Amino acid sequence: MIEINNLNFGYSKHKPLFKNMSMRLSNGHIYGLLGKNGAGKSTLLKNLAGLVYPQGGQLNVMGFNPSKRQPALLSQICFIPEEFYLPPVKIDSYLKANAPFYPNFDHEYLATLLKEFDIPASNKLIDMSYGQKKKFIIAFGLATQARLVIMDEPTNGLDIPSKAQFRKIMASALTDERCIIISTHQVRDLDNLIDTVIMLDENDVALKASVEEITTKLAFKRVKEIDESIFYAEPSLSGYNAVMPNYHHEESKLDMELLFNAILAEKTKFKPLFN
Amino acid sequence: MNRFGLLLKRQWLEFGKIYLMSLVVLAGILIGFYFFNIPDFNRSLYRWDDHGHVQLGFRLPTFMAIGFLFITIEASAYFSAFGQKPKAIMELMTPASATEKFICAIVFSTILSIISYLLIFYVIDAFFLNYINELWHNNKATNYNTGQLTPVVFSTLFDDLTSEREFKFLFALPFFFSSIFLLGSIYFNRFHYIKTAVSVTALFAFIIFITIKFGSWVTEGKSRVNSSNLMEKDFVFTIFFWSSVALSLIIWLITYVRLKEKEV
Repeated sequence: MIEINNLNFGYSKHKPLFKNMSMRLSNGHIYGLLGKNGAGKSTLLKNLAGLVYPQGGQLNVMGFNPSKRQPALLSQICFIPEEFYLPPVKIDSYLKANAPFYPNFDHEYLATLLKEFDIPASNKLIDMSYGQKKKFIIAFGLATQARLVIMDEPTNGLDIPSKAQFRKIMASALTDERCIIISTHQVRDLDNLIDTVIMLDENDVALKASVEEITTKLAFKRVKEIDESIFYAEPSLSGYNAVMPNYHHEESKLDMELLFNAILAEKTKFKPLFN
Repeated sequence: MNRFGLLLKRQWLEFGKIYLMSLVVLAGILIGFYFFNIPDFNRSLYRWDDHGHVQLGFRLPTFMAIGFLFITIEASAYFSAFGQKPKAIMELMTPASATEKFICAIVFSTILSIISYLLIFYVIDAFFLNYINELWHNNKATNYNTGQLTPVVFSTLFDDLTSEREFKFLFALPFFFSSIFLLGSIYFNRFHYIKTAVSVTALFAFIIFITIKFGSWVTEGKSRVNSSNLMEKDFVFTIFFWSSVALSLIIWLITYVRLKEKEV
């Protein structure tokens, strides 16, 4: 689905964001893109959507070069930016103007999604709250039946019930033909949703591994004392939340926040495990 | 073709309401101008044209000044959305090619605005002419061109535009100004109109300054020979016409490249 080879990009020559970054993303997965502020999460998504041009390397998205912005590719990309704009028109007018650009647009599916998100189809977009608008744009994007779904901080602005609805909808939206990439800071919002974690740090991919691979290789445990086998630990009320190599094939639940902090703090310890 | 039609429809659904409102404002301004300039009934001095019609002195400057403002404002507003990230993302992610988006921009910002301006001006002018010709019905005045007592009939906009033979050389100017302000709308992220106007003024001032300096350097120490060669005059105007056509095309090409390379 997506191949990134030696991607180089930066907003200024002296401060590159990506240096020879390479990665391959496949259909049928929900990727969680994590990273510190300024690590380049949104920029990577923009590179994939063709909104910015790489300064070096190759990008291949569904057989297209996204920089060319060919309509055949654009109609297969659903891009939900963090900050978005909706014109001051009724939902019906918006659909009339935009839906025909997507050959597989599913109006029935959109109606189902809007109902699930509790948005009346007769609403004017301008009268909606930020959260409602976000839910509308997510529903519209999924109804396009685009094969590549890119979401930048999709849960920002959603209330607690809407976040649960979002997770449910996204889980059901994944098909074998689709690739979903979600960038977020709210890692807990995406617990149980993403199946592969991509972490960006220091101009490159610090980690790319499936949840299954992570929990096979690492154990996330609560311990009373820290010993040498522990890669990283954070104090908690009853001891420490720790990450350690899973030598005994124990079953544990991935703590994404802990993993994120651990990778950033102790990158060298994790590298041999995931290379 | 089908996608281009969809794009036109999309742009119209999005901007149509604002566009129609701008036409209403334009019509209001023009009607206001006409009412404030109704010729004085007791005035004895008229400007007669070659066809024996009385000219409305205010019409041509009004036509050109308001036309310039309307066309440049419309062109300057077209790509203004690209100055705001969220809007720019929506526009760039719309599944249509850069060529289709660019042609759509030309259709809305140039062709439609010029046609709608001409149409509105013509309709208002026709109503107004009808009205004042009725008022002046059976009135006569001396035409200074012929020295005869002639019925007062006011000239049409078409008469004004064709009375000066040089006027036809200016027909590419609306496209030229429109192309400049369309480029400004995608080049600048904010205050498109002001920034474009200031840049163009500075550029023209520089070109005029250089031309004058160069002209005085070339002609230094030479005597002036008066010449009213019509062929020479025509040649200069023809060069002016084709230069404005060529510059419009070049500026449109730059706008297209800018649109194609736009990053958010």
